[in-house]
Amino acid sequence: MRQARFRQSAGLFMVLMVLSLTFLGGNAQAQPGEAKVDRLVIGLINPFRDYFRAWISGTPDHNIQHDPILEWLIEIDPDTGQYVPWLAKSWEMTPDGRLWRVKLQEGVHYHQDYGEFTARDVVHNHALWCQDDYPGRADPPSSAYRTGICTVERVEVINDHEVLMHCKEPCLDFDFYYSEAANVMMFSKAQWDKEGEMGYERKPAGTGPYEFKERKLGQYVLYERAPTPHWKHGVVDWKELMMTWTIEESTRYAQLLAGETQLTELNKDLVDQLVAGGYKLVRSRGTAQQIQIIFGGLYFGTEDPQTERYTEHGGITGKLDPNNPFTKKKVRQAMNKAINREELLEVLYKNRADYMYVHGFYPDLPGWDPTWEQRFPEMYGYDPQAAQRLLREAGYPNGFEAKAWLFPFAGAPELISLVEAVQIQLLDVGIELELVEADLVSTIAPTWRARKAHGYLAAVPPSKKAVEAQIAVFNAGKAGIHQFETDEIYGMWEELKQLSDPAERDVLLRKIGNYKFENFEIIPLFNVFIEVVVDPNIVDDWAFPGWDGGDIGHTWRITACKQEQPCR
Amino acid sequence: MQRYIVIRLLQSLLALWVMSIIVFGLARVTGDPIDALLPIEATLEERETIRKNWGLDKPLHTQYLVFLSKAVRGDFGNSWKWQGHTAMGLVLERLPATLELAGVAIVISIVLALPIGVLSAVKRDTLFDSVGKIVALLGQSLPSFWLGIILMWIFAVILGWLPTSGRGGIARLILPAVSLGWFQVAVITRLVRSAMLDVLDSEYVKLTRIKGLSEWKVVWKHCLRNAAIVPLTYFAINAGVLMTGSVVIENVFVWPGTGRLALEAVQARDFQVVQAIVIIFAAVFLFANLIVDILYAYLDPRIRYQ
Repeated sequence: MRQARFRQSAGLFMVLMVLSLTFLGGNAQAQPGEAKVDRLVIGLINPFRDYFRAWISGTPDHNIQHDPILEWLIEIDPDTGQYVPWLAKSWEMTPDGRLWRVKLQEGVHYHQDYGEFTARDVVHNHALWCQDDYPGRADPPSSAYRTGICTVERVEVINDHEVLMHCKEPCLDFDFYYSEAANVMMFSKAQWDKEGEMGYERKPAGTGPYEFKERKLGQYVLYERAPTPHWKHGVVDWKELMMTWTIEESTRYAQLLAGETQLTELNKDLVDQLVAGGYKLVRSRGTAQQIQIIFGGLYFGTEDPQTERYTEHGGITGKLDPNNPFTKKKVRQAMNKAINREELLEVLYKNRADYMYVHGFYPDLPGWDPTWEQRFPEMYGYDPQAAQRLLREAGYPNGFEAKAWLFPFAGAPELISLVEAVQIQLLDVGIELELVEADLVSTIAPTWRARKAHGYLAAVPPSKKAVEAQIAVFNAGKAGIHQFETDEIYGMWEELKQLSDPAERDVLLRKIGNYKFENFEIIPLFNVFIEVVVDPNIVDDWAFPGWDGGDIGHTWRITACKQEQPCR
Repeated sequence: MQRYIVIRLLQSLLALWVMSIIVFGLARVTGDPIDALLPIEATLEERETIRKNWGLDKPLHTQYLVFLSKAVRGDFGNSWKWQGHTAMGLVLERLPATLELAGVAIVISIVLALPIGVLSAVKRDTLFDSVGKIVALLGQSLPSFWLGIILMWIFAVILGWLPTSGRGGIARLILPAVSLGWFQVAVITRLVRSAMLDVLDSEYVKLTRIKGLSEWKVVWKHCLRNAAIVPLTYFAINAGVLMTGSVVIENVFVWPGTGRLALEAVQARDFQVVQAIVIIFAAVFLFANLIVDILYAYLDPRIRYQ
């Protein structure tokens, strides 16, 4: 439609072009044709899910295939980590926290002539996730984030570019669930009407700077630059973008060295080798995961036998085992003080991570307490003598024996070495860890779910989420991990869900954070970043926040190296 | 002979049925697919929703009967990892790539192993024989994935002659086919050599020499024809071995065949695809063995009457 208008008025076209280029200013990408290769090939490990319909057994992680073509309502700024406008121009909450007024961008068009992005697309995408009997959808939606997404129970259309999102209860984390950190990317309603559900699999139409070109299942996905400059990002550097899937690390390494890929994911040792050879390390601007060790058996809550939910109505004592040393706060503090984090950071993480303090809390999210950093050395800092003293006071003068699970975790290759190193450090204060190799899926997860992980340590790398979501999942029994459950946390979490004032919520979240911090809920270790290595002759930089769906995204921010010398 | 074939056929079907029970059971013993498909943060409600949608809430025997009744019609259900695709469709889509790779690997193994095996036997205890034995030893002792990585390193990374991975064109086929076929080269070389040594010592070979036939004809026409029975039998079984052996090589070289599909499906606990692949692999194995059995019976009547 826009092109037809251009044809009618060449003058108007020129004026629009000049204006849009001026508006884009410094944010505008390079002009087409300047990159040294037309096709950028990204060597990735394996798609967690190899289909586009994100609402089917969706996971918040691994939306990478959607990233070049589809867009979300809200973006996470890679540089600041803050929510910024994307397909939503603005979003504003009413004082009771139950209604969000969302104004949508105008003039955003879907690929393949599927028309302009409007409020009806928002209604459609919400329904895909939240309406049980949505016509035309064969597979029902299910996702780790569906509860949060569907707190919005109804989308009311005000006009083509404005909607009201009505929530069942205060939904202060609306921006998180409708941002790129979660799954609700905006598919085209017009495409759904014309092609049906499978149209999204054959050739999904998005509004992003790249268009879908082709996909070979399990091999690659190919995108091409959209024919017109993107409404927000202008013209991206690459004519084509290809994501290839290679499980074998040695093969990904060889692909990069042979010049078949220009960007790939590798372990830290290989990255160091490549960097020494002139390749360039690029890492997410923000934290992607929090590496921590959880104590098994901290089931302090009380359980209602009828609902099998903890705390809400009191009831019988849960599955707490008082003989488990981890249930004693002094033991947990002792174990924390027995850990030499500095050494682990240097040896295992090559000093390319930050210290973390409280699980689920981040400086750029609500509830953060800046005093944690100052209090950490005193309460958690490495001090074997203090650790032994604490163990004596807790009734374990000679230490004790415990177990730790050893299991590989995709995306966190250091976990096994980490547990082995922790075993040695804990031995110095008399705690003898037996390492037990186990499968996460068949052994560990069911044990967690059954609240039977007494006396087992486990190193885990939860990805960044909204703070309330973290508490719900790890502390309030909404998921199967049951990391640290107490009546106090349950109570505060229930209270939290009723709050609509962001300031009050911030205070309560901080209170929960401090409760967790002061009770030594876990052994907090490191905030880690996602790392990729690039060929600096071809790729200049890639700014991505690290929590695009818990993984990598912002592919339009992969910029080409346009100078003769490699870009450093 | 007909009765023999019918009995063997029934035995194969029985084996296939047992295999279906094993693969159905093992797939479930190794863990809950919900754990593989949903992140550990998934809520209990969401887990139960998926479990119900996929029929995993039904008793195991019901699940098995549903599986079996569909499987006999070639319907293994829809893939969980690759939504929108049937398990059988995925396997059939990937099968040509595996057959291509296995076929070329067989050709390579024959082309290399036959002459090496024959010449090793003919030039017994010479330098050539020693080299042949070393080749066979290395072929059997080098893990194929390791060989694949080394070949990739030399020919793709250092020399830049061949691409590292993927499918499309002869260049991409060479390294995975050599890596896959190398073990077979070793095995067949040894088989041919030992069979040739037996034949070379036989009376009729001596007779051909006495009659004045050229050594070339004696070796390559008369001896090899008789010695080839042993490796030929091995080829039939080898077809199945190459298909399953391709799991490793296909992953190293990102070859889009059933082997790679199998690994990804196992990692994702995609029962439907795993079951389809294993049953098809088993069927190929059984079919190959059936053919061998029939051939044996055809060649040796004593087997038929046992």
